[in-house]
Amino acid sequence: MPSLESEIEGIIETFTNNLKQRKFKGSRDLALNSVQLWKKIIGQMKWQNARELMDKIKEIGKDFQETSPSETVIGNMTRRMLKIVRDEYAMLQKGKQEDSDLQESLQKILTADEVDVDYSKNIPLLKPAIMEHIGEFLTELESSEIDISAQALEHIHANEIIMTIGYSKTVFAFLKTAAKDRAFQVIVAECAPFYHGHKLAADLAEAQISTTLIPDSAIFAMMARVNKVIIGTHSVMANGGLKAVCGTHTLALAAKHYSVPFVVCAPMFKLCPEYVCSLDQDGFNQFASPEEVLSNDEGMLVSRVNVYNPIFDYVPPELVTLFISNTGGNAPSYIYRLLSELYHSLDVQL
Amino acid sequence: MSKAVKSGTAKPGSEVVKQEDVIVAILIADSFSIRFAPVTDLKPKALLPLVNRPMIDYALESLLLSGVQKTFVYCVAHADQIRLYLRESKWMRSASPMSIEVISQSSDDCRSLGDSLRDIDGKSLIRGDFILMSADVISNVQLIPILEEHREKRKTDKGIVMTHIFKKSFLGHRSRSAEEELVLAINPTNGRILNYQQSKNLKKLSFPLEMFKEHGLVDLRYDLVDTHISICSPVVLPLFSDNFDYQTWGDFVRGILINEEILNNTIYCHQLEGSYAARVSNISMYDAVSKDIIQRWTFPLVPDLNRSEETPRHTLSRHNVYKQPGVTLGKESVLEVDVVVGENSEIGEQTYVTQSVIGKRCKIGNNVRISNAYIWDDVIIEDECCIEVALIADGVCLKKGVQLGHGCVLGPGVKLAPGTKIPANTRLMASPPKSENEFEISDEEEENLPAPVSADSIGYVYHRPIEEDSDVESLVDELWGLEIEDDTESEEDDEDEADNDEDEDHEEDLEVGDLPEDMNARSFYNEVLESLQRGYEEKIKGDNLVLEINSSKYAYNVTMKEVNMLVIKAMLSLPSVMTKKGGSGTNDDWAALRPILQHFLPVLRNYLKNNQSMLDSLEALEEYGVNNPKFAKITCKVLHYLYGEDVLHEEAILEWHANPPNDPSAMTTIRKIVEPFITWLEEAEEESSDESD
Repeated sequence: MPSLESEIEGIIETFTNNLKQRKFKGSRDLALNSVQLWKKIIGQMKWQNARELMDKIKEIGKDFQETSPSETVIGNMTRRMLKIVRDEYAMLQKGKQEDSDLQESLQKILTADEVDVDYSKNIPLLKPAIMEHIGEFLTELESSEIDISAQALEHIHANEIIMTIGYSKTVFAFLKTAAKDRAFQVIVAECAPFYHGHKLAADLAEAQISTTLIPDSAIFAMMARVNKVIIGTHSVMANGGLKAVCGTHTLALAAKHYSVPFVVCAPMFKLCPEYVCSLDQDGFNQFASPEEVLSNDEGMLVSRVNVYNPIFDYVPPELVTLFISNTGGNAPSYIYRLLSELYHSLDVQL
Repeated sequence: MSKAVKSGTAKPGSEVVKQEDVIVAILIADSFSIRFAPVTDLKPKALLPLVNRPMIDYALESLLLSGVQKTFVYCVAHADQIRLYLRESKWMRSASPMSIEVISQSSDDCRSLGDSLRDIDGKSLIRGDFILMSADVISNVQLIPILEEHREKRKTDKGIVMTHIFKKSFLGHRSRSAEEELVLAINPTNGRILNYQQSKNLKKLSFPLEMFKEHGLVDLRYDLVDTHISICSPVVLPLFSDNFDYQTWGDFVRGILINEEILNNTIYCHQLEGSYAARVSNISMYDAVSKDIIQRWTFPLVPDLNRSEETPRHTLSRHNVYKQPGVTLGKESVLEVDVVVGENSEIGEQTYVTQSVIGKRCKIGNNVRISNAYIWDDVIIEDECCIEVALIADGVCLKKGVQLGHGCVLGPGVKLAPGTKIPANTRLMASPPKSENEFEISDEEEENLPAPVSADSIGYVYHRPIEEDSDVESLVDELWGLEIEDDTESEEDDEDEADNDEDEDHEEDLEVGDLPEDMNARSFYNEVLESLQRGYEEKIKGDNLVLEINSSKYAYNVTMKEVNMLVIKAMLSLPSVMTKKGGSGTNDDWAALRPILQHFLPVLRNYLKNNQSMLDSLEALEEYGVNNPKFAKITCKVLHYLYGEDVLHEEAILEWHANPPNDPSAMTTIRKIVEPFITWLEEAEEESSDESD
């Protein structure tokens, strides 16, 4: 049935196109959209068994990742889909045994052989089970922001001074929830050259939170009076390090210097099973147009000066005090464990 | 707004509304110029690689990113290749969110932008507003908001026919194309274009007073660059059809502005804020745009985000070095800054590459230096070559130790033998040039087939067919890569005045000896002498020599007057240089000189075009005669010969004779010798004037 195939191709093409046009607002939007896309693809695609399905998911997922290599969320969602297929398959094969899998001891993990399970059996119940699981996952994604901000009162206390940088929807929701019951102050670093901090400051002020906007250069000077740094992140790497907006490393170092707790709000879908090698900082980063830094009009300057405009910073895990995810607070050293629950070790390399 | 009568040509709004949901673009995949020749002889410009990706891909990608839903690609030259490329590419797949239709037309029927738009109008494909763009435009502009703006403006101004997009870039910006300097008069309150003038090599511009009277507030802008993207109302096409003299966009704008009172049509300007757009109109712009892409001004159209099925992504590393998979780097090779290396290319040991693009499957040897060069696919460069500021097309092979001068362009398939040195600003192609385009070739020259640049090489010098009024334009892109680009240009423009002013200053220097004291001029003289000697011995064609002399001229920065004088002196001294002895003072001298002059007639004709240059050469002749008394005897013969060959005109000779010589001693020697010739000339003139009476 070529029409079905071309229909799927059409959905995929629209998605990659939207991705290129940057139509998704924030990573949660992207995660939701890609899971919905996967739901459509898995639902409409023809496959005989789990092996075939997983191969196809890998193939398409690779393509998505290539289209937008810096969006780790896409890769995460692909891995998540593979994990769901694996779980459901194992569940249907062995009944309820899967639950015990989560309580595997360290020794068991170490000694377990890496041989992949035989996924070639045709199980008719697999498809509805997978669809149901994806549905559950979608609701988890949708509520992730609310789940995180529900923990706000545990972290923000009365009359505290909170510092943040740039614009993160999660952080905004987090602060807004806390402001319902507590009075506190927020200092926002403007995050040049994109100045997303301006928008956050405006939004916070509108939500009746006392807000101060500072330039990035004043971060260190202001840190002495700050009680807590709360930021969002683009993604959390496998070692607990952050891939966050440019300027975050400065903020983290200043916080470390004054021993200010450095709290990161990161929903589970931002956890990425990849590591950053210090040599590959440029590959990991993304460079945008230098336009924001130096206007292209500037005649002679443009041809004589090299301008770089990196989007991300890598923050090493030792600078992070706590991650707040939709399932609760976690230390950076615990990320590896969360990852092993979220993704299957064989799917790390797509 | 002016209160002129409304015309029927403006389309009623209702029809436009129907089309509003589909956003249509016309992509003109031909630039109707030969700026890139000889590279474009076999391949359309739209498919030339720009940072390892065909140019048309950038244009289509930017339309797609803007949200355009239907694109008509209009191709003329090599239309079949473009059609084939698009059919194979991802653009034509059914799932693509932008549908593409290719329209092709033979180049006989379509020679300009105007012709192509008339053709499109004839096919009546378009009924709504559309985006008109050239396929060699690279931009990351979001076009939809501008289209909305265009539609919004129509609510207040029914006569709006076009919103043209300009980008601000100050003087000295690399993406300012010297060919397209323009001055724009804009009404700053609504962005309406009131006057449009191309300012290249103009010293004065005039504006109608009514413009200021009518609008009160007028912005005169020199800092805008044409992006060649416009949002057009459907009425643009019939306007082109109605006016057959509209060939280019400039014609159209001027026509609209002149007929403004009658037709009430208006053109608006949109100035880009924070986004990039530029057109690869010539080779210097190719250089500038490539650099902009590498330095990521065109984000997201950058090598590490562009990918298709055939070409994998480039990976980006420090200092804007992009590499595709499969690149091999030799020991101690350096990719310094702003370098792109294509798939499966090999770079040898201790090779140094900076600010360059290297295509796919290239093989580059050891100890090669490449800077500011654009090397396309499948190029082989052997050890110890040196390439600075050059464009090297597909499949070129440079053997060991080849050196390319600044601004060389090597067409596809050129092969250069070991040790070949190519002078600056040379364009080479793999097959001998067809001579039919050139009208200056005499019969005997046509028989000699043009020789390759060196033995065992496949490479012939390409000559641009001579166009009217194209002197300055061709100059501009031939000067690609020279650091002093701007200075030399202005010098060229001011040449005539400068010559007159400098006469007094330079004369003293020149008089002192046979050779000018000025170091630059002396080096230039030596170089010219060498070129001429080689040219005579190897029977090199005159045009190639002119090219060589011109490049020396730029290298040593000598004035046109000095060139004229020194070329003559070098020619005259050639016999004595070649035989290593002075003249004998007999008729043998003339016997030796005559074939030399005959060989160099094309060179002389090239330089001695006007009265002033002839006077310069006569002055040189005189000086040479004063300093070489033995030569003086044959001066008369030389004069006669040059007069006979129509190199020197009668008026110039008489004028020279009428003016007192710079060196008083010439009065007794040279002037005396030429006396019979002058009297003969004068008599001949009297006779002819008698006859006419």
